Amino acid sequence: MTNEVHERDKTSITTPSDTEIRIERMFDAPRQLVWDAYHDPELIPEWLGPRELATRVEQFDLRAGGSYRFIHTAPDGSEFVFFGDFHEIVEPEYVVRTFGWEGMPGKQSVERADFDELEHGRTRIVIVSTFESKEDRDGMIESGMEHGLNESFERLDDLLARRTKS
Amino acid sequence: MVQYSPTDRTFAALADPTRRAVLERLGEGPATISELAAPAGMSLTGLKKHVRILEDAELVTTEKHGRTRHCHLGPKGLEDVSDWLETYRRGWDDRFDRLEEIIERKKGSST
Repeated sequence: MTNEVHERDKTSITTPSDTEIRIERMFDAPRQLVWDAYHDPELIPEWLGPRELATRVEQFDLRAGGSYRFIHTAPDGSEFVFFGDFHEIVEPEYVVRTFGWEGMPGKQSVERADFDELEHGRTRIVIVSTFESKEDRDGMIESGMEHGLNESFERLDDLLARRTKS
Repeated sequence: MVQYSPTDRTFAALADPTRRAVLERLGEGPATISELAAPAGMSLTGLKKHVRILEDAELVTTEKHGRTRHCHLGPKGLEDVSDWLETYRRGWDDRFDRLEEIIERKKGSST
């Protein structure tokens, strides 16, 4: 079942099957440049992760069999640890790696990121994540959503706190 | 002045796994409160509370037929359930916006 959702914006997310998520985004830059920025461990803290969380990269060994591990830290000190192994690297075309979150032990997905060279010096990143089951996939989407929810609840808490004081 | 937008109500309604299960069940077709309560392992009163929250968010509408209440997906129903995926999408859009800024910076310095 193909389920097209909100194509109007820059990043498109679709669910090509019950166990997959497909993320697509275009960049107005040549492929090698996009590849380099995407895989630079020093730059990862600047973009990979929710804006309000601090991200640090503990390991990023970009070679077949190499591992990566990065940690997001929330203002309250709670940590979200993501990890995996690189399986296949064909620079600057694609990378296949496993992706796990310590919050969902034993539920690793396989992620393939393609860097497609387009006309006029543009590049398309397509990430397809494959999960073991629909439940695992939905769990990952939900945990992302709950994060967004927590943010809005925090804002609501602040508002309420201010109102009760005044 | 706290104004709850329809989106806030939708997210709040979707924040609960029982309510998400109810929506998933109603996606297959209408059901009565007791038909919804049984698989959730909940009392009728408990389930009614969840249904009321879904009703406030316009995700579900209910009608009384005699002594039973029939529930089905509301007018916004499935469209708003896809907001679930939309929130995930926005998270990635935000990440990629920042990656784009980095790429633009690098582009500037390499030419």
